Amino acid sequence: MPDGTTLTPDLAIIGGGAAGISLALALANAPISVVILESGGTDFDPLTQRLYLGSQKGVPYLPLDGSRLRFLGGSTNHWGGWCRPLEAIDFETRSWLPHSGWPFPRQTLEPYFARAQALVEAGPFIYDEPKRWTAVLDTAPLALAQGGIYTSWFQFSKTRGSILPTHFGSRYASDLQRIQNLRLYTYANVTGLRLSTDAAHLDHIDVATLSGRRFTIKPKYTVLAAGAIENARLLLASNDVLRTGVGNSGDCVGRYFADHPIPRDTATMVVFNGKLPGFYRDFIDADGAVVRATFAPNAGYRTSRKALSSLTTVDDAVELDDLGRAAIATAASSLGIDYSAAKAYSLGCGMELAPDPARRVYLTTERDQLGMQRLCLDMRISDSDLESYRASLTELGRQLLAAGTGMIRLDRKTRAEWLSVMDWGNHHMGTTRMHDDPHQGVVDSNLAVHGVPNLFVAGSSTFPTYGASNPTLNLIALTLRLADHIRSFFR
Amino acid sequence: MSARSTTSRRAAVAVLALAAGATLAVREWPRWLGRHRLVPGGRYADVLEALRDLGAAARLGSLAGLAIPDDAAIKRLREALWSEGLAGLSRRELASAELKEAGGWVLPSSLVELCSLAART
Repeated sequence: MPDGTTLTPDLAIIGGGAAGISLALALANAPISVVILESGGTDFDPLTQRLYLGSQKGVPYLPLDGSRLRFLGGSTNHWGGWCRPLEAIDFETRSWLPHSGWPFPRQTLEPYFARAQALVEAGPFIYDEPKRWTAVLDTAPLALAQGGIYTSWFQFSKTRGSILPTHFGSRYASDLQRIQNLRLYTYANVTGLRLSTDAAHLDHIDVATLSGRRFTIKPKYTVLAAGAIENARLLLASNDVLRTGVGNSGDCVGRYFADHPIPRDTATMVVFNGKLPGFYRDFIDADGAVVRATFAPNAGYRTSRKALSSLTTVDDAVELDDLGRAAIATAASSLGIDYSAAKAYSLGCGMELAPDPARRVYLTTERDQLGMQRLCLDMRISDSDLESYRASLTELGRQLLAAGTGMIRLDRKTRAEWLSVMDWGNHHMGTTRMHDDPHQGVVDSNLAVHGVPNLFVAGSSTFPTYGASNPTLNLIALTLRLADHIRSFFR
Repeated sequence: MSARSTTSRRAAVAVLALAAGATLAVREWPRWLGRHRLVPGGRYADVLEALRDLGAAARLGSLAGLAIPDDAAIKRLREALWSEGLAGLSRRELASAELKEAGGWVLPSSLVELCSLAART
């Protein structure tokens, strides 16, 4: 690309990750000229990766250049492939959960899940149909007494012929090349979203390479699909026309950042008869899918107990101490249960965080190699988030013991104990949240930036409430819906 | 031996027998009423009798450092055990989520109280 070039496509997609590639593939047959602007190349490049660097404060969190990969395929180049659709309650506005709710129900995304599932290559879309799994796996899930927790299911992305999840860059590069009206530009870093002087629409996009070339894109429509942190950074840093940046009239850009806390060894679960079905601990091939079971709170429990979502997984087998052995003997003998073959396992989880406007990214005075302001992340986790998950574990323990199946020890109580075992899902979400009110969100229900009708945002940065499900499948479904919306402009 | 001394001995034997009977009655009336009986183990022996594995409960109570319930709680526990038995009481408490933790283990509330008492035997 010669220095100073200006391109005028119908659509510019900023970012070649899961969202950007899915969008381009979905528009393959539309009469639309599309450019994808990917910051990296087709492989890892440390100089490009450094563009992600930033500072942080608050609770210990992953470094800002650590969770993401800045080359074609984006963070799918190192994802674990865990897939699970958000639940209906995740979309609902809950009076007890401030800032909760999507502008539409799950049914709106329903038509897109199967196609998203195909893109991540996770086999048939089954998930929470336990009868199908029980039939396929020939083993029933652990018996739980009636209550708030149920056995739910993950499915896993799995590139055909490989044990690895689908890496969107390598998997779909040739498909992108075959699209006639599509041009993919690598090493093309967007450094500014330039509004018209009246701020009524996006006029053009500034692009720069690390080798010093600069060019301009002047598209009819633009989709920002650079990940939750970079999406916010670009909107905030593009403050030449509006001092607060693009789409930030409600002071929401960068706020409500979220990830899924993944504390390790949160609890110990005992199974009295020692017969833990393999699908709780291992990835099982079943009916063309790879699956693993998890414990999740159901909608009734979440509503009545004002609980956040969580997905508890069974991890390693563990030895019990004297206290644990005494607890099992006491409980099981009192209930007349044989515990002679009992086995114990550690539990881990992925938790949902409540939306919090103070958990945010914001611009600092530091600048990257291209002159763009770097970000600082103020990471927070509230005590009530931790207590909500602990209560769900208690409920699981109650249901296990009431069913005569097993019992639970809660291994973390104080905030310090939780933080000492805290890991994170690398699931950046929430910085350009979706809300029909521009004072409460950055994009509307069609993912258009409020006040800038030709600029859209794709990805989990638009999730207003997060659930506990891994975001990739869901953000792809949301992006496929956006593709339909964009396609309608060109009919 | 005079008739008077014979009468005195008989009276003394009768008094002793009555005293022994009264003592036995005081100790054993719960068993005769079919509710519970006393066993060695101190002040809470009657309620601890509900445990099938007293040793394990005592270890759990001791290792978890459980606080002893107040008298009112023990009274409630005793009455509940009389009427429901430990298994029934535990099941009811599990169903109604009346739970406590012992060293982090999630257990029926009454079972934890029993463990704290067992630790003091």
